[in-house]
Amino acid sequence: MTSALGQGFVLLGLIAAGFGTAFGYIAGVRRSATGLRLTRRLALLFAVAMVGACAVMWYALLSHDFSVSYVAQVGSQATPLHITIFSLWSSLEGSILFWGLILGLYIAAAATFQRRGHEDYLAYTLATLLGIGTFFTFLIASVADPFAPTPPPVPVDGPGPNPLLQNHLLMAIHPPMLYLGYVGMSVPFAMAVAALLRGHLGATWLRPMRRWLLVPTSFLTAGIMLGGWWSYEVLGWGGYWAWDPVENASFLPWLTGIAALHSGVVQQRRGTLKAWTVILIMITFLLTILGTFLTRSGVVNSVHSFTQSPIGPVFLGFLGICAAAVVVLLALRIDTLVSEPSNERLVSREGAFLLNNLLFVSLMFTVLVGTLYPIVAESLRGVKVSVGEPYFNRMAVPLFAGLLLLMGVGPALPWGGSDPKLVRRALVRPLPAAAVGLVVALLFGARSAPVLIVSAFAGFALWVTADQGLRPVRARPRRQGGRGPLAAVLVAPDRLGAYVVHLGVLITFVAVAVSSTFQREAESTLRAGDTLRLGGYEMTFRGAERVQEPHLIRHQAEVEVSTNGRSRGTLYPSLNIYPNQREPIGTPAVRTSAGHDLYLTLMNVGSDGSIGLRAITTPLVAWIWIGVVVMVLGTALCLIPTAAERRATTPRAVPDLAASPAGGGR
Amino acid sequence: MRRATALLGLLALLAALAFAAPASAQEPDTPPRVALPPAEGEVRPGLGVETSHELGDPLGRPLSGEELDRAVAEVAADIRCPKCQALSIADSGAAPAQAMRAEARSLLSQGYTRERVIAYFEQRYGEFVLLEPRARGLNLIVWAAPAGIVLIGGLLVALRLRQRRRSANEDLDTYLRQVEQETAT
Amino acid sequence: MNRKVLLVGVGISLPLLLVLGFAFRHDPQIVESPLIGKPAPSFRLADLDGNVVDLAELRGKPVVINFWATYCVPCWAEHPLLLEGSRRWQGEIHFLGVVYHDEPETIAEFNTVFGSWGPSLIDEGGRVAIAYGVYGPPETFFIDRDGVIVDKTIGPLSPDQLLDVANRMLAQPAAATG
Repeated sequence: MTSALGQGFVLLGLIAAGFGTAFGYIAGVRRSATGLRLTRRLALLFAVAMVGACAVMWYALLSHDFSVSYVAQVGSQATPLHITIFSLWSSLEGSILFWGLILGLYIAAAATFQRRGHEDYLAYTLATLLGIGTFFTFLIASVADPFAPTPPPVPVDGPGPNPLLQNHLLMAIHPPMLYLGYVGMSVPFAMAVAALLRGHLGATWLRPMRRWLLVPTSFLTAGIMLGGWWSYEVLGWGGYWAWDPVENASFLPWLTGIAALHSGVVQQRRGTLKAWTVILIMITFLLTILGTFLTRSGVVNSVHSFTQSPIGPVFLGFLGICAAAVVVLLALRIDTLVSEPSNERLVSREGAFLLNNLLFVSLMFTVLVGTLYPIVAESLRGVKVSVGEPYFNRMAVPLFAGLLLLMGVGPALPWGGSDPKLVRRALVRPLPAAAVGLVVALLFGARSAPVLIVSAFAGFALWVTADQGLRPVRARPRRQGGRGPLAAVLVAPDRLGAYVVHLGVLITFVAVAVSSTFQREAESTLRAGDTLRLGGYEMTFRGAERVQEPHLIRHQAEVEVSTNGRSRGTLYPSLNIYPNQREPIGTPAVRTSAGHDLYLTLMNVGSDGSIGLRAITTPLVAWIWIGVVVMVLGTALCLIPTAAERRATTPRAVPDLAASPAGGGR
Repeated sequence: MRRATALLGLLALLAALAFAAPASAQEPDTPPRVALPPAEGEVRPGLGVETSHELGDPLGRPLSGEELDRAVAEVAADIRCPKCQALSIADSGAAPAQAMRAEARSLLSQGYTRERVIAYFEQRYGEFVLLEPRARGLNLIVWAAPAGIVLIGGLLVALRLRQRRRSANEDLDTYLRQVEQETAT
Repeated sequence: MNRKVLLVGVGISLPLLLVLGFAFRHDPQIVESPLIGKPAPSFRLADLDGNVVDLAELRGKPVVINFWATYCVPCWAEHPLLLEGSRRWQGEIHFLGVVYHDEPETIAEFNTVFGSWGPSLIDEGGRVAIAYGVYGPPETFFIDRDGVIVDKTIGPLSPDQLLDVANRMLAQPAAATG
């Protein structure tokens, strides 16, 4: 019964998406207002169907209806309520269904908010989005059907979700954030397809597109950060980023998405790089599909990947179709997107943006090659190889350092850069800040060249970021006769927002550099009363305890932490044993402070009551997360409409032909 | 243009070789059999495993103290933990990773070089255990690709900057010519 | 039609898709051992009762070495097969179990409950496992009469595999023993 209801909703979604795709393209070609209205209705119907399907699944999970195969796979009577709710995305089929829900919500949002000012493109945009929706609902209805009835006999209890996912609440929010990022990239992609089909793109395309790109990029940023945080809080190795294939997969579209945001700035300002921005957006979308494929096909070894399933080949087929469609569409229509002629210099704002794009794309390419090379080696040489952290660090660190340098130099340089005196002054003024950065690093005992270089670059960038970001606040009140700084910011919130994001990046950047360079660790077997010493900390083991909880057995060690004889509280690192999993899963205990983290992992509990304890101190870890929060807040500022946009609230249905010198296609 | 591409390829190759040099330096395998003394903490004398025929004589200087710690950390960062997913044996706290760290420590303290210790793990576990692929043969792809893409991309950016400059200059020239013509008549 | 875009697009995406397609032909979990065809690292280990087993002394007869642990579920699955095998080839093939990072107490408990098919050798510090390049239990090494590793399996052993390799090892002439 529940199965049939769920499958019914999925089928409804499939029909809505399929017809919506067809009607949308026809309405686009004929520029038919009626067709567009019908497409919008179908888009909303698709969203309703997806919400319905997920609601049915949630109902089945919460009522422990094991006649639904997905519930039999991940549900269990003993699992706490909140984990049952999150288990919707804890396994393959459910996660695809959840994916469908998010896509539905994005499509509904695009159909609702883009009604005005984007009419010229909307039919094509919605048709493309619903085309993607058709694929996903097809997937849910066929190879990844979570609603399939369990073959009899229906079990009375299930195994419960993967214990790694049960172990920390972060797992509840990390996947949705990542999916919101991944799926959201469909919207700018659909807009790019629409622009190519229309054969022009202007202000009514660029502004909404940037916004729809900013949102998923920001979700992706948060998702990646939460993944790192989860890894740090749960996996117990003291780090947050291992260059694991699946981590890399989420990193790839993030890199090109950010490149596209930056090239979009040049496009907005100069009318150049139109085709390039479109290409970047398309690559970003393809990379999200590639990432999903890597995560779900089981072709790579990873902590995060789902088990091997028939979904892999289907996904690869979809990736192939998308890639072919993108290449053909670009080849046929790219020449219709004519950019303004421009005269760029290397040492100018435009030049910095070009280099920024070069570095982001190079970084993406490097990570892509490194991630996929093991597959290449195995296919061609028949040998398994690894490409791991040492390789990626060696390759990525110089590129990241280059980006950090650009983050300082770029915003300082004037647009055009034709006046050498102006350029020189812009580059000389922040130098004292770079010197301060260097001195601060030296004072804190940094001696390695990479850390010193990063510190100097960061000092430079920090000064420029603050100078540029606060410029409107300092300039406005004078001109507008004493109106407050808030009003000045609200004139162009995106400008301040961009620099707030840069500030967040700087914080995270420095924190990553420092935390990875100055990590210290100690490890020992302790009996009750023994003390382990590390970096001024004395950690005394008081005893281990076995706690029986409904869905797990927890071995918990009591470790008293003190510095210089003063107690700093007690930490409880633990090893959790889940009934259906043999190997225990550790939960580290972390003492966070502004300066550094003390991180305790319980390695094992001996039968004689002794424990293996590993202690790690890592400076500035907390600032990595803080930096990302600042980035997300900055993005939120960017989303506030500018004064000019707010004034233009009255809708005007003028197709932006003015912005397309070439007009029609070839 | 073609010459530029060839030059680019050459540069990429050189860059790859520069990266590769430290990774592929290997000592010759020496055959004499010397039994390993038991590692620290080994319980019973006479028990254990004999691996000397693969290792040969230690060619380096026995390490100890902080120098040994540093060498162990360096080796451990490059060896994949066999049980884990993407972690090195330096990062992982799993028992097999601890055992491998202890093995690396024991070998380094006897004077085996870092390269020899890494090669020993490779002989046992296969190339998969190296987190950084050795830069030889097909693996050169992975070493040359980043340099290659930066160079190709850099070339494209450079071409764009030059082309734009030229077209802008031409515009200016035609304008000047026009001015000259207008003023001449 | 912009041919440059077409060429670059196809040039990048086609190899990528081919690579990903190839990926399906391989199981990412299985790593081939470089030790096959090489002499088995010799070891002396004591079992739970303190009896010392020296691999070198077992030359002349094939040896099956199984790395296992009580926390490893697939090891339980192959346990009956190993019991059966050790009975069937008693006196012909040596079956040795090497304990992979597990406590002697739990191993003893397991053996009392489920029976044992050979000595459970305690690998202090896991050095034998390193010498054999063990990725994780269960792994089984097949060593012929001359002390050369002829085959290795990762994961639970199947009856066909065991039968096949055992027959291969037994078919080898016993002359070349040392």
